[in-house]
Amino acid sequence: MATPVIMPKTGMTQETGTVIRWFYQEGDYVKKGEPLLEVMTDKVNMEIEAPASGVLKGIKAFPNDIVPVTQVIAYIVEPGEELVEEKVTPTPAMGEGVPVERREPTPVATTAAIAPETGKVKATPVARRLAREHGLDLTQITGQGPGGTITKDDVLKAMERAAAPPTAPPVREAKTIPLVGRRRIIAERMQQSVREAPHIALSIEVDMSAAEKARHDASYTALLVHVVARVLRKHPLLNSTLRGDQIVLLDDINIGVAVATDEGLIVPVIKRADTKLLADIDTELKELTKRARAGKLTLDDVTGGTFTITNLGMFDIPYFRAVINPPEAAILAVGAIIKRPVVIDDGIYIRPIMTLTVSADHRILDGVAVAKFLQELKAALERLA
Amino acid sequence: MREITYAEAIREALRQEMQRDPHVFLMGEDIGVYGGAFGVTLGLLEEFGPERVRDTPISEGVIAGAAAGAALTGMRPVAEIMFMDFTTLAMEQLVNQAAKTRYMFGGKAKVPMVLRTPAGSGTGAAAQHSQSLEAWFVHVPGLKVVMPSTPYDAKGLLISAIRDDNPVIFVEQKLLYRTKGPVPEEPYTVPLSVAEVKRAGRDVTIIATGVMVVRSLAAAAKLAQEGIEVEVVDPRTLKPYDAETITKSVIKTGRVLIVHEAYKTCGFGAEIAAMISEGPAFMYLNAPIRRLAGLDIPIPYNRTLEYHAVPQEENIITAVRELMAYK
Amino acid sequence: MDGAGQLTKEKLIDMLRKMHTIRAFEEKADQLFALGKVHGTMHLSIGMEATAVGAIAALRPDDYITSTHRGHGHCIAKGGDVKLMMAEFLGKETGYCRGRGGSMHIADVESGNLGATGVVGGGIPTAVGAALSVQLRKTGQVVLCFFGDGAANMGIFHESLNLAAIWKLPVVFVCENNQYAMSMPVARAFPIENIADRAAAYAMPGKVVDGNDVLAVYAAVAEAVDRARAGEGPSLIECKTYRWKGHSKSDQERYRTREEVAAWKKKDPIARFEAYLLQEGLLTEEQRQAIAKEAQERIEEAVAFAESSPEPRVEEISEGVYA
Repeated sequence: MATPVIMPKTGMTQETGTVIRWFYQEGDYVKKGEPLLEVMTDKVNMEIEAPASGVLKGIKAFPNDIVPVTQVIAYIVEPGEELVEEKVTPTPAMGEGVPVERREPTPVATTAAIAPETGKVKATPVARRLAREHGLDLTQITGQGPGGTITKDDVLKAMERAAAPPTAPPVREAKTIPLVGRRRIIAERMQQSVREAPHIALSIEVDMSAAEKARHDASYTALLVHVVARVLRKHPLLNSTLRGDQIVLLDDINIGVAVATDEGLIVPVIKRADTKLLADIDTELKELTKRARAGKLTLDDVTGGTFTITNLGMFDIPYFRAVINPPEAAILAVGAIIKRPVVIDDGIYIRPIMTLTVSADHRILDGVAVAKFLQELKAALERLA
Repeated sequence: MREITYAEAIREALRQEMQRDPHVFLMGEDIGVYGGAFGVTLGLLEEFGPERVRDTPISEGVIAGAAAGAALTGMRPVAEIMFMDFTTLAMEQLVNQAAKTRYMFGGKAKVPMVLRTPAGSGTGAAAQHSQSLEAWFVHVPGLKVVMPSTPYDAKGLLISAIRDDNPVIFVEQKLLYRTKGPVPEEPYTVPLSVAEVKRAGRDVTIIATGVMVVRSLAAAAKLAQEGIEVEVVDPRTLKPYDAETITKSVIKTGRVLIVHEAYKTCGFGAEIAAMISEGPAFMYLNAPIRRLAGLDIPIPYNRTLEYHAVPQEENIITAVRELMAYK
Repeated sequence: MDGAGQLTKEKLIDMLRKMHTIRAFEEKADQLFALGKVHGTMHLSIGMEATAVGAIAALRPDDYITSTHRGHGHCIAKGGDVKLMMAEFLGKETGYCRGRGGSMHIADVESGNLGATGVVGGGIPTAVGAALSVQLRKTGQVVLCFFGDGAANMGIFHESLNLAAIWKLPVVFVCENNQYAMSMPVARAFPIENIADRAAAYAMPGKVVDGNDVLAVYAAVAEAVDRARAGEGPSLIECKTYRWKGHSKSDQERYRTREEVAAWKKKDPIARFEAYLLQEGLLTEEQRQAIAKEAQERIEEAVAFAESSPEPRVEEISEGVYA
C-alpha cells in the first residue's frame, strides 16, 4: 500500500504551502519520521517528516510550487511496489437528480477537490481565447470566478484597464520576480485585508521625553510592546477579531512585531505581553528578530497574534499607515522620533516627538474608540517614569 | 389553434399516414382492441381493420425483425414495443439487421420502418418499465433516433419518421402523453435532424431532450424573474443530431447545461458535451459544461426515490445559477 | 430419385449447371483464400448444393429468399451473377454490395435475394416480415427462408415460426441441417430426432428430406410453396445434408473424423444427380463434362472480372449508411 505524503495544514487560515526543497529524490529509501521535505506556510518554514518507511515515489510538487493543503504531493511505497495512484472515481452518490443539498459537487467544489497542477492558470476557454487575441497575460489577471477561475468578464475588465492609459511608453523590464513563497502569501493576505476590512486610520503625536529615560537599554519597539499591551487591556475592541457575525474579544494579548527579512515581512509574536516585564520583552524580541532573519522561527513563534506593531522609525519615516494583519482588528504603525518645537504652557520647548498611527477595522471599531485608545497610549508613554 | 394531447398527436399522425399511404401498417403487442398499453392506438383498429393494425404475440424479436423484413420489401411498418425496456429483446434485429442492412448491402436496400416505444420514469413502474435507453440506439450507425417533447413535434416528427427511408426509433415520453399543445389538424412534417430553439436567451444554453425540455422551460421561466435568460435547445432528433443549432447557441451564451433523463454515464449528454468540446463553440465557453442526468441506478419504485433519480426543475434552476457564477 | 416428373429437361439441366457453378465457385473461393487474395473469412457450402438448388428450383423468379452466412449457393441458385459475387468476395466496388458486405452479406434485393446475414437466425424474422409484406401487398409471392440447424435453437426461430403460423404467412422455412452448429453436433444440441418435428408446435407441416437429393428437396419445397401461395401458411422443411469443409477458415475440424467426412462425400449430391440424369437418358457424358467445364470457365471469368475491378474509394466510405 502506498502511503500518501500530503501538504499538511498547520494553521486554521492556511490554504496553501510552498515546497522549499525535498531532502530525498524520487526512488530514495526514506525512514518514517525522518525529515522528508521543507515547506513554507504562511507563517514559517517547516520540515515535514516521512509518514512511513519506504521508497519515495510520484513526487508531484517541486520547489516553489504552491500546493493546497491536504493535497497529495508524493507517495511512499514498499520497496519493489509499483505506484498505483488512487483514481478519482465518480461516485454515484454525487450523481444527478438528488435534491440540491445532496447534489454533485458544484464546479467550485470540484475544482477544489481535484486541484489543478500548481502554477497553471485557471481560465475558461473563452477567457483564454480573448486573452490570446488581445495579447493579455492571463497570469496578470486575477480570476473572480468560482475557485479563482478567470472568466470572460475578468478578461474584459483587464482589457478595459489595459486600454485606459493611452499608449504609455513601453517600460524596459530588468527581471521578473515570481510571486511565490512568502511574497505571495503577503500579497494574498494584504489583498484580503484591504478587500474585507474597511480601514480607518488615526494618528497622535507623543512626547517621548519620559519614555527615552524609562526604557533604559530596551528598544523603543520593546517599550511600545510593553506599554501597548497594558493599554489594550482597557480597550478590548482593539484586541478582538471578527468571526462571522460575531466580534470576539480576546483574553490573551499577544503582540506581533513586524520584522523585515530578505523574503519579506514576518511577524513573530510576544505572547501575553501584558504580563511580561519590559526587560523580558526586550530580550524575547531580540531573540525572535535574530531567528526571524535566520529563517529559524518555529510555528509557535508566529501564531496566535492578536495585535500588531510595525515600526519604521529607524528608517526616519515620520508616520505611516499600515494594513491590518488579518484576522486582527487593528495595527499600530510607529514613526521616527523627531525633535520638534512644542508649546507647553505658553513656552516653546524642543521635545522628541513620535507619531503613532492606528489602522483599525471599521466593521469592529469606530473612530472614537480608536481615538480613546490613542489618547490613553499617549498618556501612558508620556507618564513613564 | 386547436389543442390536443401528445398521445392524440401521435395517433393523428398514424391515422393520417395510414390514410395517405397504404404501405403503412401497425404491429405490436395489444395495439388493437386494447389500444396500446398507453392508449395511443385506440380506435385505429376500428378504422383500418386487423390487417393494418396487427396485434402480435409477446415476441419483441420478431416484431422488430418482421418490421425490418416488411420494410425491406416495400412496406412502411410502424412497430410498437410496449416499453423501451423491452427493446432489449429486439436488439439483435434492430442493431445487427435493420441498422446494418443498407450499408452491408452496398447502399442498395432500404429499411423504412419506425419503431415506436414509450420511455421514461415517473409512473412508479420501477426498474424494468421506466428506462430511457435512447443512447444505445444513438450509438448505432444506420438507425435514426427521434424524441419529441411537444404534441406539435410528436405529430410532425412521426410523419417525417414514417416517410423516412431508414429505420427510426421513435421514443415517446410516457409523462408527456397527456400534455396538451397546439397541433394543426392537417398533416405536416417536422424535419428530422433539425433542432429547435424552444426559448431564446443570452446567458445559458440548456440542451434538453423529451420531458426535460418541459422542465427546462419551466425552470427558464423562473430564472427569467432573476434576470437570467436561458436558451432552451431541443435537438428533437438525437441521431443524426443537429450540431449546428447547438453550436450556434453555445457560441452565443458561453455556458452549457445538458439535461436528460437517461443515465448520465455515456448518455446522450456525453456526446453533446464532447461535440461542443471538439467543435468551434469550445473557444466560447465561459464555464465548464454541465450535465444533469439520471443517476446511474435502476429506477426505484418509491415515489420520492423515483423523483430524485432523474433531474427535476429545481435541479435545473440550481445548476443554471451555478453556471452563472462564471461571469 | 423422383419428383422430376414436374420438371422439364431444360430445367433439370439448368439445376445441374447451377450445382456445378456453386461447387466451382466454392472451390475457387477456397483456392483464392489459400493464395492470400481474400481479406476475410468464408463459409463454404460444398456438399450442400442440392438443398440450395433444389429448394430454389421450386420458386418463381419474383419470389424472395433470405440467406445465411453460408450463402454463396443460395445466391447462385437464385440466379445471381457470379461475376458480381466474386467481385464482392474480393471486396471490389463492382461487387453486389460494393465491397461493403463481403462473403457473409451477399444480397441482391432487386432480384429477390434479401441477403445473407452473419448472425445465426437473424434472417428468419426478416423472411417473416417479407412474407407479411407479400400478404399485405397481395402479390402472390412466396418467401423461402434458409437457416441452419444451429438457428433452430434460437428464440427468434420460435417467435418467427409462431408469428408466421398465426398470420398464415407465405413463407417456407428451409432448415439446412448440415449436422453441426460450428462444432456442436445436432445429436447433442437437440433432444429430438428431427428438427422438422418442431413444426408441430406451430401447427404447420414439418417434413424431413434427404438434403443431398436435389429432386427430393425440390419436391418437398414445391409442395410447401404451393401451400404458401395458396394462402395456407408456412411449412418447415428439414434437409439433412453435410458440409464437406470446415465451418469457416479457422476450423481445424477436431470435432469430426475423416471417416465421417469421407462417408458423406460418397453421397455427393452432384454425382448422385448426374447418375440419375445419365440413367434416365436426360444427359450424355459429353454434356456432363461440358457443363462442368463451363462452370469452371464461368468462375474463371468471374475471377478475372473481380480482379480487374476497382477497389471501393475511401472517400465514399460513409455512403450507404442512411437512405
